[in-house]
Amino acid sequence: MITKSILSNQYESYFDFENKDDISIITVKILRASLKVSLKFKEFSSNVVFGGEKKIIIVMTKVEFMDSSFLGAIVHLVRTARANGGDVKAVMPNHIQQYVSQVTRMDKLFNIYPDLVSAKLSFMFPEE
Amino acid sequence: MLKPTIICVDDEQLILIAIKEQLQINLNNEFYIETAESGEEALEIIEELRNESSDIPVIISDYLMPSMKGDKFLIKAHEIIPETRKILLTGQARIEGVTNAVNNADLYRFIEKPWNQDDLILTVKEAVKSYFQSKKIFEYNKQLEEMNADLEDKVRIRTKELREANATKDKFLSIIAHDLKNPFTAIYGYSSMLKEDFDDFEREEIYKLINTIDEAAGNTLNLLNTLLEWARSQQGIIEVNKETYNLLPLVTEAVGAYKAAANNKNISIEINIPQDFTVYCDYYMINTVIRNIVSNSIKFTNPGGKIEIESKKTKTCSEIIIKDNGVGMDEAISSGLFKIDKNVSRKGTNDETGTGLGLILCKEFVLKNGGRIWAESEISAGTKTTISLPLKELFIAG
Repeated sequence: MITKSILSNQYESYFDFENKDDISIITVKILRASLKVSLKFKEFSSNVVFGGEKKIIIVMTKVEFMDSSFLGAIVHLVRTARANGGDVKAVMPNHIQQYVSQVTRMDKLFNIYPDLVSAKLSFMFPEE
Repeated sequence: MLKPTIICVDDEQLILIAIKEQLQINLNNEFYIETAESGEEALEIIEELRNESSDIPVIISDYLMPSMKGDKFLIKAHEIIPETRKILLTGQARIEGVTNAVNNADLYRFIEKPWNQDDLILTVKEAVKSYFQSKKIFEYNKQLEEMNADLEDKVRIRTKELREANATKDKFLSIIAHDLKNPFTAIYGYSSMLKEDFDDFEREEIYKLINTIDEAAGNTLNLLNTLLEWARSQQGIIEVNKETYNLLPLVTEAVGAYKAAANNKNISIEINIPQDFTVYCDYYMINTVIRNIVSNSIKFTNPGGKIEIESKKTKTCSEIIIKDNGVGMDEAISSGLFKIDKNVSRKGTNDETGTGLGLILCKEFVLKNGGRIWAESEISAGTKTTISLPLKELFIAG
């Protein structure tokens, strides 16, 4: 299990990381999730996956805008995590969720929840 | 020359701005960077650029766009500009979409969003290099094809020349085999008879035999002279010395050589050429041509017939027309006249021999004078041969 020390200086202004009950939570702290941040997120989330974490939740409740490059980074994380035997759940505010489901239809690739508790529960009590 | 253009297509303006900025900085402003927010807009840009004959080495397109998806756009673009390298830049492309673009738009590379700047720049640079290399290869191939076509033309012309040369050689051999051998056989046969059985012959018979030998020797000499002239003409060692001559004395001199032959067949030769009618030609060559045509007319006109020689001036040429009311010839024979590879020799009305070589020589000499020669004929009605020589003014005007 990796600890918060994974967050080096280059990432801490963008993301928070915590690991509790075997679930890793990456919280995106910035308002605009665009190209520059998405590259950081791709690197950072890859470190989390290759650090051995299997259950990962991305929390984007503070994000006001997300572009396709950040969505690409999420898709990359989902695929990498699944390839390593893990899974990713996302917590997104309504407008982001709408972008994902209506514009890109990527909601079929990973599960989106309105709050962190629901996301955690989905890991603790997975649907059959 | 216009700078080449790279087209970037994405429905997100911020992404377009980012790509454009990265490309401009890293490609040292060597390219115009055009951006479009949809496939439709990009297709319009492509059309405009094509009208300006601008190079479009690379298109970078997003996959997920509201109206036209990236793969569909790239396929349409591929139909218009197949040589352009196409890059799909997306984080959400479905495998079918990418496969579709690979199969139907000859996709150069698929880059995931968020892209690594170095990766994108390197890919674009490689794509540009590949595009211009292909273009160069295409141009070289085109040049090669043109050179090849040129070479094939040369081979075709050379083959035709060789075929003609071969036909010439065949003609030569046939003449030597038949027309030269026959008179010599006669000369040898009759002279042998005279040598062996001289005392058995009457004086009158001896005179007849000597006459036959003399005639055969004369024919052989004529033939040898023609052959020599023709051989010299073939080798290109005859010079063409053109000057302005009065046609009447030229024709009179040429016809004079055949007066006796015409008288023997009771054929009249009428010359209707004005005193002041001039021609610009090589005297010797045109004299030879007229001699040959007149000789032919005598050969193929029945005793009591008529040969007329006239002149005519057109805007560009002086024409010499030799008409007879002889036996004429059919289309098969007349179409083979003046052609080395066609054997049209036939015997005259008094069994005169011929080789067809004289007319070939005529054509060569007339061509060397920049003119044309042709014959019109009808069986039993006669033959009309026209020699057309350009006016001097045309040569001076170039």
